[in-house]
Amino acid sequence: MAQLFPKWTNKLPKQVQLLSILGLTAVVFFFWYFGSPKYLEVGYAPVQPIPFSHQLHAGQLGLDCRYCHGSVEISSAAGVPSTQTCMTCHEYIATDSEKLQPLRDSWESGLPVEWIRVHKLPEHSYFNHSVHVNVGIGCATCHGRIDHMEVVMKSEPMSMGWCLDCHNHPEQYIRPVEEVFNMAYEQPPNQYEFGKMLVAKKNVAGPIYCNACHR
Amino acid sequence: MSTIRIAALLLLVILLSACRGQPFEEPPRFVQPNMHYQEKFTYQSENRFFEDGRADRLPVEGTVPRGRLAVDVALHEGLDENGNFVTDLPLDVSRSFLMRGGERYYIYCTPCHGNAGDGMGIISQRGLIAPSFHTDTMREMPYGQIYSAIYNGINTMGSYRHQLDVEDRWAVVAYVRALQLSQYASEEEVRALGIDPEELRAQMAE
Repeated sequence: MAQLFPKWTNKLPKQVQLLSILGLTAVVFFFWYFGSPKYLEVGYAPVQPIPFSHQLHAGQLGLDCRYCHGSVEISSAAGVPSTQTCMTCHEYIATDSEKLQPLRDSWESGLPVEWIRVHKLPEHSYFNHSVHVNVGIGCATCHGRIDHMEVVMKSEPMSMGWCLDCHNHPEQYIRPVEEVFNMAYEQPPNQYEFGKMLVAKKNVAGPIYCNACHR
Repeated sequence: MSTIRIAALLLLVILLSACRGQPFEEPPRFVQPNMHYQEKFTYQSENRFFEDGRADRLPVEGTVPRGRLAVDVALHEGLDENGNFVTDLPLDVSRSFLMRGGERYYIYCTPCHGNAGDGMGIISQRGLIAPSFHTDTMREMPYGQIYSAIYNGINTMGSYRHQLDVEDRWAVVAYVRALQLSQYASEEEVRALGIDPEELRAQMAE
């Protein structure tokens, strides 16, 4: 009687075992690495209708964040500036720049410049800028060194775990309220004690119940 | 295909895929996009139902938002009953009021007027020179006129009424006055504050 299984099948169980271990590990790794907001969202840098440079405006010229994002201290939204805000200077500066044509069109037509939003949370979570800047969470803590960015790029994952990291231990990131809009602020070497002191002073208790953000 | 070859292939796929944090231009995709985007309009979002595409609607012409009715002309426009500029601040000045004014001045005014109000802000390097506050005309300017410059704009300066609410505008006016005093103080006035002018000069020289 001929053999039912040829000789090579002797190796099969071992190969299947090895492959499934490798395969499963690869699947888990794949989702862990490529399914995370750290991969999917960090680095998002869309092309805007006007190639506005934060590196020039916030960096070289040193404009305060609030010059344009004026509602950040009083509202949940930091606000994208109106055409009028741009025109306080650009009515006189770079008036013949081709790159600024969409701005001038908007100024004439009254229709907004359609900027593309870079930092967008899922719509089932509610974030409030004013609460954060008024207790001492700096702009750069979440948005990175915007003043170094020629094109704004999302630099933090803004995932739930990322939010909770700070909500659980705000002393890691908190800074004095006066330094919130200072892009170049550096944490002191004793950040932990300093942070603890600021947390106590401002009575900061980052809420960690679901309802705080998911309403 | 041998096990080793398949393993190598898997490794290659992983190695060839981009790493985290690479810049990209297309909108991010999500593994589980449920409820990420909802049938609702958030601030400054797009709504193609309207011709201008804005989800935020502009106030209906001829209407005033609740609590924004500007009946007090002296407070809101800096004019008295005869239409002249008011010569006094309509609000009480406190330390915190001045500090607030200083902060707002730093945000909105320094780019052109400079920290000291001498017109040497960063914009002066780009060919737009703002006038100095430290001239006799500026020092004698009534409060209402400084307010009016903020509220209505003046010369090449646009209106800042949308950036600054009414209290903040007056706070900036008060701060501008304080700046003028600071740059035009006599030695006696400085001494009256308990500061030695000689010491100050030595500090400045350093």
